[in-house]
Amino acid sequence: MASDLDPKDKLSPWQLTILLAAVGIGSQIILAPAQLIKHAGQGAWISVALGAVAFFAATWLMLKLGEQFPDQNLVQYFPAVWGKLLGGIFLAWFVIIHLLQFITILHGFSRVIAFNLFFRTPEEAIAILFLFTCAYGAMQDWGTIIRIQQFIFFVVIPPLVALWLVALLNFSYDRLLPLLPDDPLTVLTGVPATWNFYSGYEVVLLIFPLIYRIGVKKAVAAGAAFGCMGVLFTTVTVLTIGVLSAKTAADMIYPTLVVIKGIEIPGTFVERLEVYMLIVWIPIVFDTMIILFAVPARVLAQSTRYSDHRRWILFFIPVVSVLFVLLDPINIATKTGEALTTLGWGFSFLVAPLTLLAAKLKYPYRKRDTDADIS
Amino acid sequence: MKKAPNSYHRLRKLSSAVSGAALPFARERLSRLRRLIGDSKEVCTHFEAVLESLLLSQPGEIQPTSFTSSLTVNENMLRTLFRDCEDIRYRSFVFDRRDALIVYLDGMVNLERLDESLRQLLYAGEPVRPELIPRQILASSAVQLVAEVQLSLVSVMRGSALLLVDGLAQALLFDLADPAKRPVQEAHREGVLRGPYDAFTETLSDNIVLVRRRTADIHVKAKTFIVGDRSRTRVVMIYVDNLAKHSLVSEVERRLKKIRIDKVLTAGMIEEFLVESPWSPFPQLQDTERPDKVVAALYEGRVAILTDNTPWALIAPCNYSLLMQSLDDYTTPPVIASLIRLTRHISAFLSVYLPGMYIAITSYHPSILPGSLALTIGELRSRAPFPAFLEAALMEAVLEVFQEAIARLPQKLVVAASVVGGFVIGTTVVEAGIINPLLVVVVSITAIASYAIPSYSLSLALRWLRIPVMILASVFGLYGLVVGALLTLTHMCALRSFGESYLGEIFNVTMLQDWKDSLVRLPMKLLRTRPKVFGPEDRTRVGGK
Repeated sequence: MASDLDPKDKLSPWQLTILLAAVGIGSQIILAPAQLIKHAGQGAWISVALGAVAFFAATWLMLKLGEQFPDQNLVQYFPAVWGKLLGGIFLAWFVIIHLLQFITILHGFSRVIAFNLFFRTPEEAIAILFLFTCAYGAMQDWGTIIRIQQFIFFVVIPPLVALWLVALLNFSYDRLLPLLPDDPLTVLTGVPATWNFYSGYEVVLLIFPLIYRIGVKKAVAAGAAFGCMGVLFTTVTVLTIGVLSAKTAADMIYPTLVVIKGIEIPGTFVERLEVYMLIVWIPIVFDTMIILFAVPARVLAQSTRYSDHRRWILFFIPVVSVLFVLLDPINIATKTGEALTTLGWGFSFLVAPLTLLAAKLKYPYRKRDTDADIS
Repeated sequence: MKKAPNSYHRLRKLSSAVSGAALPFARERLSRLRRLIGDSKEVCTHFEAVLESLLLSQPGEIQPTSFTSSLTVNENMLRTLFRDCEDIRYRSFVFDRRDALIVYLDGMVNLERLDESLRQLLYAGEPVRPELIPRQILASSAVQLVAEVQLSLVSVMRGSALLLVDGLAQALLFDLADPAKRPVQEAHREGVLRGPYDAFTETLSDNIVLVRRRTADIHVKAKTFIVGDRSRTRVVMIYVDNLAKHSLVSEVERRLKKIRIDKVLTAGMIEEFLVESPWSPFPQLQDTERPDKVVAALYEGRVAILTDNTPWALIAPCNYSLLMQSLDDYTTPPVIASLIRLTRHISAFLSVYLPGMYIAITSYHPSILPGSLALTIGELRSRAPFPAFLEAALMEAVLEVFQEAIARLPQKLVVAASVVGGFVIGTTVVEAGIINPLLVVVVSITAIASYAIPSYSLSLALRWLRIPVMILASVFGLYGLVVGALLTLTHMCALRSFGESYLGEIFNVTMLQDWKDSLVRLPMKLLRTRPKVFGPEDRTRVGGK
């Protein structure tokens, strides 16, 4: 019997908000804007805002799916709904999304760090240290991971926002014009590219049974997370375009870093603001990465009936290392990123809604466990 | 040719002639033998366990369990058990025409009180018959009638005087313990500016009184445990029964009972048995020499552990936030107390990361410094022969040696050592060009920052953490420094003290109510609830149960 001295694995709705926001506000704040601005051009910031709505809708559907099976996670109900084979395929899809995303981010992260902080240190050395750090984080129980997320959220996000607000010094409203692009379709085509910004919300399928069923509704908590992310990402995109212009930003690999690099603080004490930005960015990436690493390990551990997910983390370390090396050419990394976006969209807007539909058809009289049912 | 019947008989199986040689019979015997071997193994294991427990409970020799009515037998038994204990005193006398013997440990008993007790007994107005001694003199609170030898022996070793009378199969224990002890004095490590000055001593009973004196609450309970198979040290668990979480009390009790150790010289020896992660450098139990701090902890729903011969208490559970608090925080205005707390957190950060920052910035990222400062540092560093890491490691090693030496030195030599260390070595190494002056400044700030932390155990842990952080900074610069911070954060979040996260309520949104007395302190009027983090049975401070 679990005692109240045992590690606490439950999380409150507001902790869910922080978890979703912390997973979302990750590496992509530096890595993703270039791709987005290439797709959406001048209207990229609208795509980001629309993306927040679209991915909140996806999360909402996932929460509804969770409500169908309140005490189970996707490892338990996917095979029940789809059968062993199809359920297994969808679970593999889920695992691959997280693992591939982990590797892609690790790749981009080590490249950015090596390029901006070191001249001679190889990317692999940076990646391996970070891989082990993330593995150590991912090995912990949910309670510990949530504590880490909260600490980083409150300690690191405020300086990150403050650093971005300093970019207002170089902001020009003219570069943002026209506010609405001539071709509105470009804005819509940019929305899928924003999956990189918001991804990570899929974790709700795994942690749903751990969320308290009292207090604020889960959908409200998730909405708060997406609201927070939407505001931050839209501000970052607006500032990037306002400082560099959409055309210039589209030609750059990491436009957001260039924005920060260009800031000159009056006086001479603070130099190279991008180094400070990267120092703040590393914990944010760590926040995302431990979730991306822990989720597939836990899914596989549960699927293979292991109680301890840590052996899967140890198994992933060499796998990730090999795939990291294979992704080295930048064009392969870009193509992998595009494939990942497609997989992510497919899972969120195809697999999850279809599973919800199938569950409703298969278990029409199942007692659902909604927030409204519980006082 | 017809075979002879005899030859046919000779070729038959042995089993047909000897029934015991039949295969099924042999199999059955074999299986019985196996069963017997198995059973005997089991019995053997059982005997071994019994023997082991006997050896553990009565180390050295087998002792009789109770006294007899013959004084000679009892005296011989005691002299045998106390053989080679030359500080045990035996005084024989005649009492109501019967032989009597008093046994005590020299130096542990108040002889004046012993003589007075005996005088009252021997020269009472009317003769006291030994059989009636218990009834007649047991009115005295300091006298106890015992029959068990083991209990009597332990009591004598703790300072009681044992009276044996011929014809009486019981003994009288006079609690006259008066061992050499230190009076209640000021705290050595936890000085406060505005607050009580008395601190715990090495005497357990005095320490319990120091706690009891501060509260007349009948719900404050004190349970005694005997820890240490040989030293038989008394350990007292104190808690408030209608405040402390029941699971916490029973867990502390369980862990105390589970301790297997031969001797307990100080509470530090049992501390490692009580914590979840003994390999962690962080203290997982709060230690304090201040009774007021213990009482404050009890009323937060925590449990205190007092150990005999230890002038400080252990408090469970414990977290980082608590270790950064001091009693002065509650005697100064809340705004100032909050600023002081923030200063301590900054000090903790500096005490771990400042040398690492120096190494990272000078070795990898001088460009983040203003141009003029970078040039100055570059010029200073050009005079020193060592790379930044070696330079910093050397200085840290000197500092550690210096601190260790000061901690062991007699008080009179500390000032001299400070002058030698601080001025002579500090100035000389710079003038000799071994270390650059900026590093001396960095190391000094680091050392001073670590002194600002109220808990010495935490300060030690942070000092230890500096080393891996410096290594990470020397290999990976600022990136390594951040990774070091993340690893430390993960460890602190994963670390638990009696089930509670070591980071405590800091930035935990489910414990928003606790934030008011965490990184900052709000006015006392607003601190109406007890910290949620320890799960007290009654959350309201005033007007509750």
